[in-house]
Amino acid sequence: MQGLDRYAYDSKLRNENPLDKLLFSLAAMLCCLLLNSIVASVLVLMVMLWLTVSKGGTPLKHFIRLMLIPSTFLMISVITIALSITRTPMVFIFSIYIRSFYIGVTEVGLATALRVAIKAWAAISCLYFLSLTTPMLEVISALRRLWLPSLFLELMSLIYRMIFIFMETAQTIYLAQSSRLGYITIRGGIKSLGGLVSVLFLRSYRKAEELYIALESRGYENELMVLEEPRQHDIKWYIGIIGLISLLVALKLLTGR
Amino acid sequence: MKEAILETKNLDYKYISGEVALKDISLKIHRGETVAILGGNGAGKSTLFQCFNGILRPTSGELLVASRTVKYTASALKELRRTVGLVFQDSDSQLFSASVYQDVSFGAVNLKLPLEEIRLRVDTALKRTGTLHLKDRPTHSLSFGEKKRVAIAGVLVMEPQIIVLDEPTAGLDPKGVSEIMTLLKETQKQLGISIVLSTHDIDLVGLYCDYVYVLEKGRLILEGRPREVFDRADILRSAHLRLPRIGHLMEILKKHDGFSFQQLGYTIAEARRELRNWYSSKTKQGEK
Repeated sequence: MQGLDRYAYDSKLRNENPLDKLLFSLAAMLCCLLLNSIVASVLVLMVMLWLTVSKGGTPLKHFIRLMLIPSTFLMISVITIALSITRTPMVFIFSIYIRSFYIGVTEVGLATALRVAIKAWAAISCLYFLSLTTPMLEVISALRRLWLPSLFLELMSLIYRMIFIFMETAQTIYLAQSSRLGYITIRGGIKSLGGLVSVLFLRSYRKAEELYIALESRGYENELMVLEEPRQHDIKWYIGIIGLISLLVALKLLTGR
Repeated sequence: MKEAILETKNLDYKYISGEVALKDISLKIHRGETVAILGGNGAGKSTLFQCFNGILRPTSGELLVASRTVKYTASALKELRRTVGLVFQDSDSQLFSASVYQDVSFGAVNLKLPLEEIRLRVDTALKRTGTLHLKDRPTHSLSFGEKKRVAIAGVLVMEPQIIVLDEPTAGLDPKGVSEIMTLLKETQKQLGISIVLSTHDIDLVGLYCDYVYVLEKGRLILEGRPREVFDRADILRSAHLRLPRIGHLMEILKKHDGFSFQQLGYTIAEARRELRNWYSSKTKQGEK
């Protein structure tokens, strides 16, 4: 098993109702985005970290490493927010003067940048909480209970299943090519890669046909209907949602930030 | 004679290109029987199997289920697919869901059964195939043999009367082969279903099958009980097949080494019996 899903299957929170977890993370994320408060964001970040690492048992190292992936993009956008470019001098913390422009960082700009960065991190942590405690399949089944269109969900689950077959096929072709020195020169490598992509396309096409025949032979009638194991809702997540929202709103009102 | 559950009469199938895939196939599968369809690569086994299940519609000829001709209407096809369960050679193209439990449930849900009945059937099928412990595992983390068994479970939930398997043992290790065959025979014993399988593993045939059809280039060239078929080694070989290894050994011993067997043995048990007979007659001669 590969990727994020591996941690999700290992998580101690895996057997919680996926819809409960989905709603919890959505509520927290919405709070972050709507309240636009540094205190609220920090609190959400802490809660998600605590749930995923302490309660779920995901190693802290993995959580931090995953948080760093979007940070690169975040940093670039935050820097552009922090920088102000004007013709007239402002109250800069520091600035440089190029021709007739001032480029610098103001206190307001820095505060906005910090606020955006923390808000983004908090929202990402909500997403990671869900994906590190809930396998993809359960997320799909939770979405089904939110009455999302079945076409959308069927595509999601088929794509998810096929990704693994696709990767396996690609890997086999790659191995077969490189064992015959297909990637030993750059020129040869490009040619081999072209071959890989076209063979992969043809195989995927045939696979899709086979899959359709197999589905048809099991009584497929234009809808992928499957049975899901029944899940009990757990009141503690809803207490959590209400508690978290009221705490965040209260903090926002009290501190005003 | 038991009733024929599945029957074809002069069945022909041509590809759209006009190439003949099956020609004049007439065969009968009886209730509770295990039938092997043998044939080299490209002999038409998979095409025939897809005709059994109504995926392909014969160009001419008839398909009969329980002595009734199949009409290719939507409801008849549904009934046909419920009666004849097809297990594909490549489990990966059969397992569409990333969840074992959901995949197995698919056929039963399509039959629009009551929820409780579906649950019961899924659990029974998982238990029967020894895959109950895999139900919470994602499909892509299963081994080849586990996928095969889950694919079989996915067909068993529909409670078919015939289960058709395209090369069920291909690619499995020896233990996997015997596990799959044991589970199929066990299921057959409990439910009285018929099993049709194609295989290149000739050694299996004498052990597990009651009847054999041999296909070559889309035609039936030989049929009979395993022993009867193996007695025609010349025809088998012309169809890119062979005798079971042990049968081949017996043949060589008889032909070239002067062993006088009453008949050839095609399984270890049969060969052992023949060899013991030969040995005891030899020692008796020596005493005289």
